[in-house]
Amino acid sequence: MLELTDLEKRYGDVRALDGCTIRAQPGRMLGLLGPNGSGKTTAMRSVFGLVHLDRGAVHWRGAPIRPEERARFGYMPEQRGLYPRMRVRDQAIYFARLHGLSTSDAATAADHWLERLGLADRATARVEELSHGNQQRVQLIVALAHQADLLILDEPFSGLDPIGVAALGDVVREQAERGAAVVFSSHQLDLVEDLCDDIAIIHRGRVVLAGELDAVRAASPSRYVHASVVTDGAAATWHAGIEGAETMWERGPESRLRVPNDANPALLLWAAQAAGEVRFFRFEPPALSDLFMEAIGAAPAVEVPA
Amino acid sequence: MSGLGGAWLVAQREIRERTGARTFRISTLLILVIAFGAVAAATILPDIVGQGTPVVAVVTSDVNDTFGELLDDGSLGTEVHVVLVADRDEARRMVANGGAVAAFYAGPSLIFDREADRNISALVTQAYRLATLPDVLASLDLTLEEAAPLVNPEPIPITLLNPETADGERASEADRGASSAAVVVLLLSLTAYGSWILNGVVEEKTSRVVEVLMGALRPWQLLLGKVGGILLLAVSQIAIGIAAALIAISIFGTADLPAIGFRVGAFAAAYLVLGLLFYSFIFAAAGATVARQEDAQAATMPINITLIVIYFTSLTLVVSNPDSLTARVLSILPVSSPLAMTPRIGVGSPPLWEIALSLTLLILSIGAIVNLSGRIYAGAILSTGPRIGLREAWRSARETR
Repeated sequence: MLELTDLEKRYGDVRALDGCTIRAQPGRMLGLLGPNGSGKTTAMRSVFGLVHLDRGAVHWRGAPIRPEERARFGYMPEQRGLYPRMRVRDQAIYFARLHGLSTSDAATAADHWLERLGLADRATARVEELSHGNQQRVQLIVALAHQADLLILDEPFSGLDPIGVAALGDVVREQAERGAAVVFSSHQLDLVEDLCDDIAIIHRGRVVLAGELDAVRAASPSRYVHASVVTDGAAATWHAGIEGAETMWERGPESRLRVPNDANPALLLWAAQAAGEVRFFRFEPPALSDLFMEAIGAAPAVEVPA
Repeated sequence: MSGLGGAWLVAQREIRERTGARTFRISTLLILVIAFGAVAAATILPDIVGQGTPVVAVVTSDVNDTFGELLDDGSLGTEVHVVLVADRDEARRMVANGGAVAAFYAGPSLIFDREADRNISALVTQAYRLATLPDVLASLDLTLEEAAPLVNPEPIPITLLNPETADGERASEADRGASSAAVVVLLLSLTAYGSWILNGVVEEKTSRVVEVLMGALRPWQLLLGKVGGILLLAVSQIAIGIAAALIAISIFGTADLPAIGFRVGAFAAAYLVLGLLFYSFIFAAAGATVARQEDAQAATMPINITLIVIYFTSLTLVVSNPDSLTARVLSILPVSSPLAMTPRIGVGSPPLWEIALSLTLLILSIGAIVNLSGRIYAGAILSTGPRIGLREAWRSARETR
């Protein structure tokens, strides 16, 4: 298990980390979420000793990380790091060798992953000649070709098209199933929702919400109603009189409401039916994006129909 | 990867990537050509440009064999090459078009083009006198033996009040040439290989690949591997240059090569390798403080200026006055000895203890420089944001230990 405990890092007056505590389990994927500048990258860099912490401890398997353990980790930094003029296959082999694989094992692993991620025909190309998406694939190979015990991936899906996201997502998911502890950050919340077992939301250098995704959703004080109700025009909206309901957005007959988690879905549906024709009605725990907004205390994004 | 194994992997990558690049192949070829060409030029050039044996055109009918032989075989001191021509007109033509320095025909008459060469004129005069001596003696009724003391008197013994020892021998043009050439080669090598290291470090830092590397390596492994790999390449290029020079020597022969070339060459090679060790770690540390490629030149400005100043001082002051105090100090201080000692050895003859002291100090200071640079490198290589100051890098290294 990876344990980041009470991390603090100041850059002048800015507190990048302010008592940040994160746990990541082997065989599980942890999605690290947070607004820009919340401290995600600093926390991830601390695992590799790239940050000099002002306070706190980074432990792996219950003890400070030893260099030979760190060599079994894999890292995909946010600002990509590859040798621009080195050839793709050479690069993959080099990093696998640095992480302790023999020359032949490194070559086998490199070929396997180039094949797997569709880069076999670009093996002798220089990294700088590749598209952004392909460079990202190479960066992922560099991080995991040595069968890393812990994968730290900073924004691994940024800038990828949906096919790329799916391909890389599958690979990363497999790594967790193989037994690796996987930590990754992303702003694509729906993607995190699909991939992750656990989440941790960081805001202003500290974790404001963490745990197993389903448990966190269940524990939320809010529920959401997404419905389309066509009223006969005279009445305002079907939910005007419902106690504790807060309108997230409204577009024609369609609206999304936040209600307390003890609200009775049957009563809400009854109110909707009483007001007009119900085209669809969904009562659900918060989506990850809702949790995110709740956790960082941002005002709900209210969309006004044009 | 632990310990030296990791550093060796880094060095291997450095060697593989660089030997695969076109710039490396071109620079190696260039070194080969220059080393070979320099030896060839030193051997052949004097024959081509005027410094060769002067030619004297002599009209065949006007001389006996003795005259030609005396001029031609160098027994009178200066060697000249005698070309026999048919008549006076041809002899004059040869002088006029530069084919000969002088022309001689019976009269006796010696023809020069614009200006008389005193050496040649004295030489021809003496040869003519000796060649005609038997006839003159015969007319006086003397035998050659009887006339010998008159014609060929015993030389007056010479005594020197302050004989110059071999050590104090005045530097010849060749010594100066070889020494100056060595200084130029040393500076070019130090700055060229220094910039390889600088650019390599800056590339790793600006491309952020260093962050990925640090997951598997310690800073000292990366530094040692990078510098070590590039130095291995540098040494092999130097070896290729030396081999090319030796091959050229075996082809053209050593007769015309200044003997000084070997001594200067050997010391230049030794100081080059040690100087590279000394400066390459400094270049690496400077590169680590840089955040953008554009800042690289600014970061190494102090190093380059220091090298240039030492270079010019070595070329001028040390070569012209190798035993002055400045030359002695420069050739002993580790910062300047890689450039300044070789010309001193070439032009003057520094005492052995000064050479030993210079080498010892240089080797000892390399140890200190590796430590110092290693620490600055470790403190600076992971810094982000703008260029990091040396003091800041030093402090940051202490904190991360």
